[in-house]
Amino acid sequence: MIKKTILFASILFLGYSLFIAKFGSKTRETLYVQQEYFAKSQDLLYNSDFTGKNVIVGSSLTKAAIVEKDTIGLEEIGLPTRSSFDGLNLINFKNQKPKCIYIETNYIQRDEKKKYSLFLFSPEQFYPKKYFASLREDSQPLTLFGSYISKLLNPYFKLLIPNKKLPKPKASKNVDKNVVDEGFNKIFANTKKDYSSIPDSFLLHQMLNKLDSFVIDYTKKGITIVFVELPVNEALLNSPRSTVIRNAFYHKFPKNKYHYIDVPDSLHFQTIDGIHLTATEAKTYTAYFKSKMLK
Amino acid sequence: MQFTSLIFLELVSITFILYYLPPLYKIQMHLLIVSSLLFYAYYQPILVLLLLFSVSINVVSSYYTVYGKAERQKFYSYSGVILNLLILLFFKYSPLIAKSFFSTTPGSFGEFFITLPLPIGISFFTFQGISLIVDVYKQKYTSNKLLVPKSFVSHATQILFFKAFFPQLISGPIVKAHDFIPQIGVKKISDINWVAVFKILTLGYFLKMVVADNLNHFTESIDAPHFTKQSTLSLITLLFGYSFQIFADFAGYSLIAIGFAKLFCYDFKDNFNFPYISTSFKEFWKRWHISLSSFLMEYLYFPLGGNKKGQFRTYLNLFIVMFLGGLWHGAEWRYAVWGSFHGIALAVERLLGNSTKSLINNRIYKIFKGITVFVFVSIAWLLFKLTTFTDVITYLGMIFNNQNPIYIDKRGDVGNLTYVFLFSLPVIIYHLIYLIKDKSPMIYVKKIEYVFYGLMIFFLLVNSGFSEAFIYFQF
Repeated sequence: MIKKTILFASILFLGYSLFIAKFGSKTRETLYVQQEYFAKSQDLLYNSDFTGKNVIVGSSLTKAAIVEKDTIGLEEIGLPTRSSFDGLNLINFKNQKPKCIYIETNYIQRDEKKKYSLFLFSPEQFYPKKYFASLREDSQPLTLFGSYISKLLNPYFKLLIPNKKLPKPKASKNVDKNVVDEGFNKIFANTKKDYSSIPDSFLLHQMLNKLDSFVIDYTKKGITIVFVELPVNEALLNSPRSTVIRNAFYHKFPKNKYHYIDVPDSLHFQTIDGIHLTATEAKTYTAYFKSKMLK
Repeated sequence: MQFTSLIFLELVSITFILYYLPPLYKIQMHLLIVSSLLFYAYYQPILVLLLLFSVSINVVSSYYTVYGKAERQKFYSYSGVILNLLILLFFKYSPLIAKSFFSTTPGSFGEFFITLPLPIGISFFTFQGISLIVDVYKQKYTSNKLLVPKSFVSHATQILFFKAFFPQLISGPIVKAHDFIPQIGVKKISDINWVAVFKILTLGYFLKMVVADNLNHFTESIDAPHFTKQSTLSLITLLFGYSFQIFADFAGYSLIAIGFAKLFCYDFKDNFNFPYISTSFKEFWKRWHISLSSFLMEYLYFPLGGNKKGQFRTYLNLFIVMFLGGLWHGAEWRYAVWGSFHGIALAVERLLGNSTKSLINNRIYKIFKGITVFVFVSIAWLLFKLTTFTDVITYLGMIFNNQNPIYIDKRGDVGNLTYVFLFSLPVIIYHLIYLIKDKSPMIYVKKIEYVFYGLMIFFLLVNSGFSEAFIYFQF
């Protein structure tokens, strides 16, 4: 029974691997943020080459703010729920030498998640997924099947339920002045609360030291480092958290020694939740970012 | 150390190789003790001392209950049980007592208690210790000399092994002394029932890694305040999704524990027996977390008088047992309320039992009861998932009065419904197979069981969720 089972499972696995190898690029699907993080990391790990390129590392803020990356010649490693450290680890693991690394400063107090790093980089996870795309996060059969079923069922649901699509969140340049939708207010209230607290100074100090060791290492290799503070809602720009992080950066990495791309004074950006730029605003910011990129 | 981690598999592999080497037969038990202590120390090294302290209490009290002076035997057994309970009370319940009755402001007496670490598995190994002392004292199942050898050192080693054996150390099943200790002896590789081990481990890992870990990403939306943004359709979907998740998580864990014990030629009793097909609350508790419910029945309900002291006492006993059973799960009042709900349900069911006797064989009535039990059990799980009573009441209220619209998107309500159903389907099929176990189609199902197990292995390879801690670890 054991032999038969293993044989049957092996046939299924090989068949599915062949299917993914042939049609994988058309069928990629993820279900939730964490899976998106792994899928994007795996895509960058197995399919990207950073050698001689400009790379930006950061959190979901980076992902939301930088669009049309191909046209501006930038590899974007904005990983949802994580920080610049995850991107830096990824570059280190690939052992490639980019031309310039742009480091998002906004969420630097977030350390890497060891569990996540193990999931991506440990040999027993990395190598099988390198050779079998069917093992990667964006190729899970039940996710693909569920997506197919959803599409099949949607017309029937539309008959039963008034057709509503997930709303594109309304945004506000300044929540204190404009009346915005209730959903935005609820989320923004939480974000505001987060930004009113300052990060633990010991932890922040530790993270900056950790970043410093990355910076020293990259600089020795001839890679240029640029720190980037991404725009958030105006009300958060000078919040206690933003101010403490900004000042800690200027102290650790003085402006006269390091390159910075600051938040533009003259532009005010709309966000979907207080911190992530809307698609339209991302285009404006990308244009600004491009103008500030090192030649 | 998690059952789903690589380091655990490495530990098991090394232990397995050494365990079955003929020259090491004599120290098989010692090898398992060392691996078990390493397994426990991986999380909380310092708390190994507490485990050893708990073991030593049970060693001494059970030994002197058997070999001490006849007039002191009762004292040894009672003090052993009390000390076990005191350890549990101190480490698990003093934060609750402090929060409920004392000030917990910085520098206060209460603050000390709320900062106490909760030793993993304390609820499980304490109950095992109690089962040992009671079994030895009462001799209900076997002569106490069979459980406690004359040599103190041999006895101490056996009890350390009984309490620390890694498959059941952290989250059960709660193994009883009279079931486990008589199994201790030399084991050979030829004694392993490979097919059983293979089937149990495959099913256990599948339930945990494919079903529970994937459902977890959806049921996270139950946590406050996220649920306030969900539509009625999603709230209902997630409620039942969590019900399937908690089953898959805990039944999966128990199966993995049973499978690994079997790999070392020790048999644990089943901990789950298709609980969601139950058509009464009494039946549910005979099928869910069997090792706990049988423990509570044997060591609490019967000593309280069971159903032998009149109707009122029976209802009261049921309530007390379930209240304490609820509190066993966690040092928070919500667990006690959860247990109380089940206690009331059991009592009401018993009260109405006579008036519904004529309907007992009516199929429609049975289906209706089955659905009622499942819905009640699922709603009660909210007390496990949400941390405040207000949230539970708001959640239930929002099912009936909800302004959030239904979204027909992949990541909206229809997506939730599709995926929660898809990941719950194995649990539904698992229960349905049980329902046809005595019917003719089962012959064909058995003939192609390799297809089912093959599918499980395939999904384990390509569709496992990101591994999360087992829900019952917190208990």
